[in-house]
Amino acid sequence: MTKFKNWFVYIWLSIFFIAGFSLCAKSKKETIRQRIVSLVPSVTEIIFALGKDSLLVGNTIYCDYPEAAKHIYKVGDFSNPSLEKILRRKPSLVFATLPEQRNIIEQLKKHKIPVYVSQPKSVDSILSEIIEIGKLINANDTAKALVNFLKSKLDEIAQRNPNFIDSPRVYIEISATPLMTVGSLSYINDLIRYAGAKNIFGDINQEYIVTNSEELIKRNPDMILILHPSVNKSQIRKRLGWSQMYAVKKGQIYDNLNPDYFFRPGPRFIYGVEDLANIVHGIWTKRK
Amino acid sequence: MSAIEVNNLSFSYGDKEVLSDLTVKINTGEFFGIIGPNGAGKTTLLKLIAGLLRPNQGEIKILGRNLLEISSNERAKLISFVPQENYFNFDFTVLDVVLFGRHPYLKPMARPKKNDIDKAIAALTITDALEFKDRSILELSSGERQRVIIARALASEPKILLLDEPTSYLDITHQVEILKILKKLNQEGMTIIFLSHDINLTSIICNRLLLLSNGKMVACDDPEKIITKETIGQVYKIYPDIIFHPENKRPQIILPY
Amino acid sequence: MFQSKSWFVLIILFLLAIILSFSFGPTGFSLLNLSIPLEVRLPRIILGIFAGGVLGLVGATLQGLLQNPLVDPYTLGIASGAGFGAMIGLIIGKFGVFTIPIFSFIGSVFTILVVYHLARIRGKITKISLVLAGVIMSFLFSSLVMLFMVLARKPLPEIIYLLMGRLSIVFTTELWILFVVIFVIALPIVYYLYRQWRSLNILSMNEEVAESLGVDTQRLTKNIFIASSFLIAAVVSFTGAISFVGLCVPHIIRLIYGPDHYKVLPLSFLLGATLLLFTDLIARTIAPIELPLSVITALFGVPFFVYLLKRKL
Repeated sequence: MTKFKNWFVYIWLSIFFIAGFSLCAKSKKETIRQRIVSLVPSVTEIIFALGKDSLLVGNTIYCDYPEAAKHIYKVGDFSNPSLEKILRRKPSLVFATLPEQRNIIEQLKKHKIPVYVSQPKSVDSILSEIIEIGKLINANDTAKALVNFLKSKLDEIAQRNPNFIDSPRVYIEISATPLMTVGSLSYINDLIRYAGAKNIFGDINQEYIVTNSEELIKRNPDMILILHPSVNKSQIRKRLGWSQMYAVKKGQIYDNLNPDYFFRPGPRFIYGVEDLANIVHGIWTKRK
Repeated sequence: MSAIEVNNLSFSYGDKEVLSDLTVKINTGEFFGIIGPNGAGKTTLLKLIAGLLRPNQGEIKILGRNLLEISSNERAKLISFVPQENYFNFDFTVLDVVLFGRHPYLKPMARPKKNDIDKAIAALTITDALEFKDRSILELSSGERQRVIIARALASEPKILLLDEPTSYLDITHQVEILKILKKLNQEGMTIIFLSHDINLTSIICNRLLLLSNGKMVACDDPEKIITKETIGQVYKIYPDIIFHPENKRPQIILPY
Repeated sequence: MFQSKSWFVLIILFLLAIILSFSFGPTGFSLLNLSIPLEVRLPRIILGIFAGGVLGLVGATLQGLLQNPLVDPYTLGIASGAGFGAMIGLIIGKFGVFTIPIFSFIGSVFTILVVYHLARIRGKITKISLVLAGVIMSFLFSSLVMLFMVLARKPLPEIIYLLMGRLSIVFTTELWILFVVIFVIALPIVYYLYRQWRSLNILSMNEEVAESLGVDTQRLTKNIFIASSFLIAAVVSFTGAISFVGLCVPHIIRLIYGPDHYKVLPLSFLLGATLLLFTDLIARTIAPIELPLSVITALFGVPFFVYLLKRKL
């Protein structure tokens, strides 16, 4: 008898739970709420900055800022997000970028999922993207406020700039083997400009540039910024022939910048501009 | 002293025994033939004597010395081996190929000297191949090529010449040519071991025959004693008629109709 | 047999390549200021001679040893092993300028050991098993490199660099000393490979004939495999995988000078070095943007190879 009773209780409880869950699911469907998957770390940062992180139902393992972004469902990595995992999150909008994510964008379009392609090429386009993302996720006012804040910061930095007759000429190293830097098509080029300096490869219409020691000696930068972890200041000094460069002679080599400020065209770009401006002003202190 | 002494020789590839307990003695200056059906172990025996394979059991003595104790360089000066199949991947000239035979005599970085070239030319003269010494080995017909290959073997100035089916790809004209060359060499004192499927050919040219079957010696004797209806029939399971060569009276088989 | 005239042309071209490489560059050339040519161009030229020469020599040696005209120094999986090693180095730690050379060298040596053991069947190494093992390991390591690239959180230009080849490695003083040490160790190994010229000639015949002539083909295969692997590992760890030099150069030399390895080996070294210097000259005079060397070598190499293929078949 007791056995039967137990069975009855279990079955009854199960029916109760199943019914309860299905009702819950139904009520969730009724309130139309955006479900956003962001495949771009900088867009993830923008969404957080706009206070709409509750809409995020998925991002990539590269999305590690702010801390809370790490705990959102991961649909894969930056260059190979999983279509299946994205679809499973039933997104109403996906943020992606080109050219790395061309494949997944095409596949998402086939599944009739709206995709916003973020591909800023300058500081202005970072700002206009923030506005557009604000519109898309219903955070218009916050977006405008954020952009105004960033603009005022940029103005402030510009005003702090003394009137250089010649802006200092900067070489930004993003990889040592091979030697790689950025050209005019990268927004990093723009960040350098806003900080009151000049990219020594700003005359080349490419996003990334592979170069060599001698070309650098010829272009002779006033300062060298290292944006990758594989070398440090003292190793730069030991490079054969580099002692010919003005920047090396004067010790103008900086290896302690946060690469994310430069590589992620999100709101934190302003820190990159600020740090760079501080170096340019010779009042560089490491940001805590 | 015997040129080659094979004592209680056994050899197997993995589990498969190819030669078992073989004992043969080949005298200096002999023209020795090895015959037997497919898979009898003929080529294996030849490769063992050439030092290309190591016996599992038993020993091989070359001119009284244990083969395993002779360095490969020294061995190459005593024995020349002509395999059945010969490949050439690069278009070396005929003279270059014959000079390969001088390898055991040359130091690592040394180029062939006049002496070596003279030896190579002498070898080409013996095999009647001197006329195409500057041609590419790849351009030669198979008869011409076989003469070059034998010249290459002679250039090492061996005491013993091992030949694995040297005539099998040749027409009768070229077969006879090769046989003449070998006979001349033998008359000049070279010990020759000649392996062939062609019983009649071996009968004409060899002074002694070894008949192998399934890795075992069936008989080792004069051609007249081995090429008989009974012995051949016992090994090959066909019983040919035997006639005798009109010139040297050696036995010749006639296949049954 | 050795026509001094034919050597002459190659030596002139080689010296020309050195002189041009020494005097051309973004900063120009003036006899009054030789510090840039000496500090920046000379190390690059020496690296180029070493890399091109070794690729040509090892290509010729392996084509001779394996009797396969389509073998190139990377057939044995060495380049992909180097890429894999560098990848591990980049992931597990930061050893500064030494990371790529040291780890790609370890990766190559590791690959060599694996290929060697795979190729050993019942204690014997056959030519076919060696090529097969090399190809298999190439595929495996290429996939692993791809896998790690996906798992690593950044795209790794270092890996692409290793797979395409460049002479533009930035030497620091320490790295230069390391290179010179490797260079000095490599010289006797280069000479060892050259010493095998007659054995390689003989190997163009039946392997059994070679054996019967006193060439220990097993030992030869093993020694050449180890020696060439060391040399290629040394090259790859500094320049990455430069394609087609090791494949084409021995063919060109054999077409002109015949198949004798006494000539083929040193002339392949000379022509390999010359071609690589010229290729690098093109790659860096298109500056400020450097082209990977394999782009240029493949552009020249592929049509040549098609020609070879059509001619042989």
